[in-house]
Amino acid sequence: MRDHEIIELYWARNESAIAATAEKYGSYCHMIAYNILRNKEDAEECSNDTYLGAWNSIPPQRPNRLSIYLGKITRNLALNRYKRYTAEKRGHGQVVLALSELEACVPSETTVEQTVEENELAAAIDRFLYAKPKLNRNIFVRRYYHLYAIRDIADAYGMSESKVTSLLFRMRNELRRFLEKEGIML
Amino acid sequence: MKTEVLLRSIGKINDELIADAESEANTKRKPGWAKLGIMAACLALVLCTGIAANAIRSNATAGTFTMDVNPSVEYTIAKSGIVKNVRCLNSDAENALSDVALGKQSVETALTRTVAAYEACGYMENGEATVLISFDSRLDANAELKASLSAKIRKALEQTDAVGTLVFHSELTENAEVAKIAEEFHVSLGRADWILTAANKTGLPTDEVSRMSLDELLKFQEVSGISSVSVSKFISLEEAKKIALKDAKLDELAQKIVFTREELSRNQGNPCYLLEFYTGTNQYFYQIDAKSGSIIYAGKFITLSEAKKIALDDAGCKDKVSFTEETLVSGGIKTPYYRLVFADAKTQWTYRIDAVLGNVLEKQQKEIVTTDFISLEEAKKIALKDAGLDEATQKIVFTREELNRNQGKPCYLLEFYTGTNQYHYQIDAKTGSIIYAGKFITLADAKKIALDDAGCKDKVSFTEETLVSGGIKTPYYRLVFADAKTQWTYRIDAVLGNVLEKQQKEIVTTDFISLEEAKQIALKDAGLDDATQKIVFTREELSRNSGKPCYILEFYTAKKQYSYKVDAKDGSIMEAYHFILLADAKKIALDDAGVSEKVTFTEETLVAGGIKSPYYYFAFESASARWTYKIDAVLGVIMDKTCDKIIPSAPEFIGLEKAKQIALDDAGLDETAQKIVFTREELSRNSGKPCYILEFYTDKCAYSYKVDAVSGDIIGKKTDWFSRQESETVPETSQNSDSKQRTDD
Repeated sequence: MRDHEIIELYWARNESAIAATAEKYGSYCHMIAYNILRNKEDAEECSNDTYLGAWNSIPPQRPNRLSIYLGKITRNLALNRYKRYTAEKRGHGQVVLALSELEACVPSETTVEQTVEENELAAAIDRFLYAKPKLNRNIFVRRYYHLYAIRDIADAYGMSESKVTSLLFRMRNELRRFLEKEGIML
Repeated sequence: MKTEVLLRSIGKINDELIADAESEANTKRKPGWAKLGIMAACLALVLCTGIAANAIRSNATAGTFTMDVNPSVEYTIAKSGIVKNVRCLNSDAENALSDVALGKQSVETALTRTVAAYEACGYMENGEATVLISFDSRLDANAELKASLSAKIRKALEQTDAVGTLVFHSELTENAEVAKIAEEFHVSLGRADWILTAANKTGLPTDEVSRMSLDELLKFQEVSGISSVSVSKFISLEEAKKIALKDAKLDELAQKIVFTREELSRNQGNPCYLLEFYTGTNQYFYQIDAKSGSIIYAGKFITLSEAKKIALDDAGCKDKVSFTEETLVSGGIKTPYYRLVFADAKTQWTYRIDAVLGNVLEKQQKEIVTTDFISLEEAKKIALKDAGLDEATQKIVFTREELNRNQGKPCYLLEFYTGTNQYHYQIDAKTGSIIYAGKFITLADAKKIALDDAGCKDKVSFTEETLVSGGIKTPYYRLVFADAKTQWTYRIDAVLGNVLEKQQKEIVTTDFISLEEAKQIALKDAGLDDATQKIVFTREELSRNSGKPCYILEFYTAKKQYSYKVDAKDGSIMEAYHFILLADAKKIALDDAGVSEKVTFTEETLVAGGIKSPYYYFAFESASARWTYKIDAVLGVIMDKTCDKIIPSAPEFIGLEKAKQIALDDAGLDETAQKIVFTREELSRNSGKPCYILEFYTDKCAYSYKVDAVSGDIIGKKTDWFSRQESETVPETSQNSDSKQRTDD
């Protein structure tokens, strides 16, 4: 079934929309949730919650790309779940590593007085990424959006792990400088 | 948490970026059969290796060597020459190398991976790191293996471009004191030996010396016992500039050359200098190999203003135009070109001008049409109709009426409310279709729901009342309010009015030690007593260090300056620095510079807090020179210094070509119409005023001109006719090209 047909089912409040979504994007959502949670059962529950999230938000939303829309819901749900788990000292996976790597990107100064809205920050990151070569951009997205392990990224792009690590290190430094230049202090 | 905000913001990046990453990685993934093939090959290799009998012998340990940067790591070498095992000597090394496979690799691979991991963790950043390699007594005794290892190590480190100085250290004698230091400070025996030597020379305690960087320790070592190798020696910037100017056939003394970029780049494999400069007539781009000095790329282009003139002449537009794009596109495989976009009131032109030859490569011209959007009133009507509302029968207040763009699509953003609900609409400005529609309960209703649910009876104050909508989540109100004892955080579904989430927490006061207590702890640690000597506090601040509340204290006495971080909860000292005074550090720098004239300091900074030794950075200048100094803030020794002579800037000259053109115009000559031979083209000075001296002749006449190098005025000229033997000249007083010529005496 095509994406716009699935979306029409949601708009018509037809429950087969969920079955169609699960059939077409079930494994995709599961993969995103699994990268974060590293647990099959939890990833499965996250995927199911994603369909419910889609059911609640379409309408009024009419997403341009259904896959990305679902992916974002899954990512948010999985990160929330992960946060809950780490609070219970049970978490593991790529999030801790990704968070510790990103620590250096955040311009830190004791004089910081205001926080920046996430949307503004996302727009700045968009601008930063569009200015980068395609390969660097895509590796950054796969690491920090999809939260893939370095090893998986290295395999996917036929590169060595150390090369991917160095590339990401440089990009994080550039992002930090870019955010500082944009006047974004977190 | 800051990083969490960042991670969540990355979750909101543009869909295109995500789709792009997903599609590309799928295409790059290796096919399954290839993986199977690789696995089969690996299996075969493992089997063959297992069969080989001498492999067992060659796997026996030959010795170990250590590599110190700041992290310290020990490599165990098998007799076959490969790295058998790796041991991290300190936590820095553990952090950096925890995920890196170094065992059972060649020495080159192991070192390359180590350096890459160090670079990734920020231990080797500027390409000038000092590395200490120490061989143990077994390797030291095996001269052949040691020589081959040294060569391999040097080659591997050279290729990384991260190492500036490489030092080999031999452990010829067993020393119990050195071994004790190595164990205590988690460093190699080589570094421990250096620490001991430095401690003996300076008289400082070993724990203080152990914090010194390798560069600093190196200064205290016996020159005879060290074989230091400079790995990455680059040519200087000045040399690179000279090479570029020579290639461009330019002379800085003869004409004005302005450098707009002088950069040492390491991004494209080979380190290289990127140089950009221009003269009166051309722009130049050079890439010079920083090691060999060879020219990697050289480009000579026409100037932007010339390119613009060519485009405007070609377009033939007479009205005033405004340029919206002026870009020089170069560096790829295509011919470098200027991309120019400009428009007048009716037409827009896009040009590509060859940046070398000045030809028009491509041009486009299009009429500017006005967009045909629906009106705001129409958009409002569409929204009200969809909401089932009628302005005539009930009060509707619009709080937002805006023509905006949503991912490139122009749309009207409308927000309005009635007595019972709030509405948010996005209407396509071209088609009038509804992109987004939201109907929410009012803020007052949401607050009432939250307060009823919390069941609080005391007076509360709201600290946050936000409507979060427009994302992929269900729209909700986020409300935070508190009474004297409790704080509540609520998320109320903005459509249905349900409570989505609630949190309740008691407000507690923290139990920190007082500022006075923190100050006493710091003073006691520094061995100071404020009753007996004057102590001035310049900073007293309760702050956070990686989430841990702490007091930051800075104070000085007549002799030293102190910086402390004291844990605000348990009073333990988290950080302590004892520095020499700024004035003393300045004196050390000025004494070393040996400057007698008046100097002005342009920078005075104390750089502390990183993994390197704290230092004072000074920049100061006199009328003739400029100095920079790095003074160790603890020991007072000079770590680094530079000195540049200041050359007074040259006035802006018109350039030789322009001067020639002025002279030819004045003489009424045209280079394209007749043969003109220049016999003298010189930038000279006439009574202190710079001028171009030009001499040339045609078949009929010989000319001599002096053209002011700044204003372009003709300040002297002489004409000799070959046929009539006439000689004309004009004295130096206020002449210009249209003045009458008078006979020379």
